[in-house]
Amino acid sequence: MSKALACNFKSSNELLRAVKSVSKAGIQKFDVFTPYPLHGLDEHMKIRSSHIPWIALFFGLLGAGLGYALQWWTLGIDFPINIGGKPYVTWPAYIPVTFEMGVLICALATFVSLFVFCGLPKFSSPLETDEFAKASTDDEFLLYVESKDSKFNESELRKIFEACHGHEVRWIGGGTHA
Amino acid sequence: MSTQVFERAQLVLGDPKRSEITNLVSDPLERFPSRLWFFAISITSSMLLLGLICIGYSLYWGIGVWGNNIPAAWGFPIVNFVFWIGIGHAGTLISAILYLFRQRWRTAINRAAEAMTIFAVMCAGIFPLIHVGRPWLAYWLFPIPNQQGIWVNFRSPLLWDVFAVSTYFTVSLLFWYIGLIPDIATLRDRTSNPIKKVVYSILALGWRSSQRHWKHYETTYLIFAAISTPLVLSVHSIVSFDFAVSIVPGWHTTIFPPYFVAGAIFGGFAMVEILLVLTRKLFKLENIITLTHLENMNKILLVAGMIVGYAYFVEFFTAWYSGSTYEIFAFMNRAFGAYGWAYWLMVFCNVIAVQVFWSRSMRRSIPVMITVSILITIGMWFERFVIIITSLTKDFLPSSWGMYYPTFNDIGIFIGTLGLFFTLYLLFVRVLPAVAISEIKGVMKNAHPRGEVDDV
Repeated sequence: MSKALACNFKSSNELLRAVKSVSKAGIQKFDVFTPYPLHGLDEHMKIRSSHIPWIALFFGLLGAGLGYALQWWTLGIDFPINIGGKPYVTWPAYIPVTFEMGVLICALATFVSLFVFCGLPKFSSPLETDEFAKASTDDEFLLYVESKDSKFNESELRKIFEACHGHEVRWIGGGTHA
Repeated sequence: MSTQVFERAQLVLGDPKRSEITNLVSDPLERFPSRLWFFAISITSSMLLLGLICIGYSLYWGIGVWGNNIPAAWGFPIVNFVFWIGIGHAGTLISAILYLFRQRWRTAINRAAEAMTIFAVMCAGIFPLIHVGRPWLAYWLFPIPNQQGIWVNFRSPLLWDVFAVSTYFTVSLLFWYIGLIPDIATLRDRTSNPIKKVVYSILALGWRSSQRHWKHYETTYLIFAAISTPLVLSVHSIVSFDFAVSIVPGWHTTIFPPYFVAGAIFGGFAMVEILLVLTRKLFKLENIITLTHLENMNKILLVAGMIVGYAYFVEFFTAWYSGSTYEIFAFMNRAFGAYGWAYWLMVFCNVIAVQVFWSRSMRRSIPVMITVSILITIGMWFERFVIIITSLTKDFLPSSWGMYYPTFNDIGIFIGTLGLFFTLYLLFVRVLPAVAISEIKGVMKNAHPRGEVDDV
């Protein structure tokens, strides 16, 4: 498990300043843990937009296609039944189920892909044993810089944290504390 | 030209700290339930028990113990089915449609409303299931390969219903669960109870609120909102097709889909309001679910009520304009026939009572909104009763005309679903946060860095 230098912040403004400085220092392997989605960090953290919409679109169309194919094959090909002299393939009547199948498959695929993209479920985390990390689901913001980053420099980081009024600067994970 | 400056409404009153929000919302989950809670759940679970006994009795003797007859083969079960499905729609309106319209006040009420959706759809699902008479064969409704080689009839609106309602339930459940994950993670990090810790850890799936994960999370949330919006409109449209696609006078009209959707949102909002007024009072959430929130909901009720009232009027106009004797008779019978009392009760509750909300002081008065919401709930139940029963009891052959009288069993099962609904809601407010903690924090003052767009 890799080690990381972590620091808590009380205000989103100071967190943003710290993130900007860390990013300017060329560090890439860092993360921010926030109790709610915070806006304005993406650019500095080099977070690109998610690919989930493409997956949703693909599976939505696939679901709708399969839904239509199911109705067309069962009632048109496999076991045609004459109902009131109507044609065997009555496409307007198949639209509701086609739509619902599209939505259903799209929702299931989106749900699964959220967890795949986030690498969840994951039941062990270096944050688990850290008592100050709990604040990142409550009221504070946690900046987490991994030591294996090539630009990692502890004294520089400590300076940045101090300048931005961070508190509880500590090592997380790895066992030995430097 | 003078400029008017509008102050942006404060969504959370009292300027609390973020940790105070966490404490406030999680507090009810960490205390032993109050006496009032036990009192309430003893009543609702007794109602549920009555419903279970009546369902058991119906399964043992067959559905002959209900008041359904020929031609009124759709009695209470379908009335209640449409009633409950409609209630559910308000939850999706709040969680999806208001999200897409950037109505940020929805964050305080969406969790409870989504929970209500799920419970209402569960109540709704019971009725078609027992109405088929042999619920153990209900899987015949799905296109499952079988030894006869025959398939279900995809041309039937009743089958569309199966797909619509099961999709709706699944999507609502997933949407609700996604919204819950960050809050369950918060509870996991707070609790000191080892059993709760394990349960919350499993349910939170290891969510650590990483900013990189939030990006995917927000995208997923947006997609769910975007697909739930047409879904909710399609579900009640399809429910209305059960009627509109048939040729029964009074049912065979093109106005049914929008009319049903508006009615569903109307009835559902009234139910959300009843639940929220009680929840905010009992759990002291007045600063989160503020009077402004309730006032906004009352405005939606007023709009939806007038759409419903317009639909009532247009139905009559179309009947008269069609010049069809049978269509005109069906509507005269609806308003002035044997069930005329139910019709006028419906008009009073849904169209007239809601007009008090034109006044701001009425919109902000808790007793008034509770009274009106209860009236609307009753009125919307009677709307379905009027549509279904008046059209069926006087259909094509005057020799078969009669009346429909529900039996004790019919009423008992309906009370049972009310019991199920409120029991589930009472359990929900005890085990999961009734307000979306993470979303509330995002709409508070100074939530986002200066200069950043603080919009959702």
